[in-house]
Amino acid sequence: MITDILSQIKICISRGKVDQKSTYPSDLKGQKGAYELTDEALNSGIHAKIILNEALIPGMEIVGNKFRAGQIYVPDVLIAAKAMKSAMELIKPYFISGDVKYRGKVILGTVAGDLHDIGKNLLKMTLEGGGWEIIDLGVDAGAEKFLTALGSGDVKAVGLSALLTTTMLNMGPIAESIRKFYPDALIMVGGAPLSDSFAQEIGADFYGESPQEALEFLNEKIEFGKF
Amino acid sequence: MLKIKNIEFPEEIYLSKPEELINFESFGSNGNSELISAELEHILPYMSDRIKIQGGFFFSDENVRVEREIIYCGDQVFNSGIIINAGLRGIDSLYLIVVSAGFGVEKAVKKNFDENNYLRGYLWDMIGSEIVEKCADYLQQEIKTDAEEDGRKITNRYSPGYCGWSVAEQSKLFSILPEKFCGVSLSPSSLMSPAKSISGIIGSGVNVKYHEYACSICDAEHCFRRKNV
Repeated sequence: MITDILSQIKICISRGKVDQKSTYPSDLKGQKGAYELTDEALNSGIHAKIILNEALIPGMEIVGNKFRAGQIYVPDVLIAAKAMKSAMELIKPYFISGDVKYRGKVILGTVAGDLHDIGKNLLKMTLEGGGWEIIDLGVDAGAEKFLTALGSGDVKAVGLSALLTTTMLNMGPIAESIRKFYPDALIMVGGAPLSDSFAQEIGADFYGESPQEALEFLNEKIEFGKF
Repeated sequence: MLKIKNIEFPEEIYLSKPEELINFESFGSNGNSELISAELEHILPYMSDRIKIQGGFFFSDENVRVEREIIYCGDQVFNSGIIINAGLRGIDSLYLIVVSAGFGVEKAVKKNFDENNYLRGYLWDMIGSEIVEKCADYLQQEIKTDAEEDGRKITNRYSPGYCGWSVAEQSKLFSILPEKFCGVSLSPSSLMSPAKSISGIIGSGVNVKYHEYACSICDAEHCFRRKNV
């Protein structure tokens, strides 16, 4: 019975079925969505942590893997993220009470001089869907903004994003400042013009072509006790 | 000669049906087209309220010349780099352009993302980008006509931030223009506000060339435009 409802929630997340009112996907029209099923699961006594780890996160994992494989596109991720968000609203109080814990805190921002944020937002949705807490610095974020956010404490990683070949150059000085003041923080970089070699050149710890790769990188770091 | 002109944009350019503005190929075919159409239907009635197009150009043929990596325009010196300057060979005058869709689009994007309507916010963002791009194309045609009246041709359009030209150079471009030209101002890091705006330059002269495929003059291996071609 428990497995059944968790599996239904997972399907709703991965297919973007937000709630009973939502008409998408058409074959699930009129049926309960991620919101109602999560509510039901909590009311039936299933612990929020189990819902998160065995339904919500695996649901978003399906989305992330399909996106990486080119089987789905940006709109599909956004639709799924909305379903995830609706369920997370019900889980949120358990984070506040301490019954459920984030895997860690990650800072994300589009670097100074650049205002393209769709890539950064997709990463944010994927990491949140993977149980990470995100501090979103928005666009046009310079070193000072990253350092101030790092000062809030207990940050595991920083993600820098850029779309343009001209603005990706601003990642170097930001990475350097982070290294200088917070040598333990992992630096992840991403964006269309970037490459592994560029990431190495500026001393970043990780470059990924898809949000799911970044999530897996962070999860691996936890697994191997880096944090 | 110096010349400054604001352009009127025909409504059909920026109030096209959203379906005509968006490249659906980038959305795949996972059965979400009905939902996307419903979202676009929701957006359509708000477009005329949200989108306020302004655009214009500044023309100068005073001390305009191009060196290997530098463009001179009056007292201003642009470090535009070799990629852009290769496309500006032979110019004797320069058009500085600005087009903006106003603040309404970015407000719609933010509002929808804040309300967890991610898809609708994303669609507003795409629509804003496409509209401002279409208006810049229209402005370019107007400039072509302007140049042809004087027996000149025009080059491609180049913007700070692209083709190796630093975004920071945008402040030099705006220093030549009247303050808040077309309603656009710059942040300390030289980003335009409203965000859905385009600025740039178009060269002109008797013996200049327009390149149908501008990326052919560039070898930037990792540029997102090259990856998307």
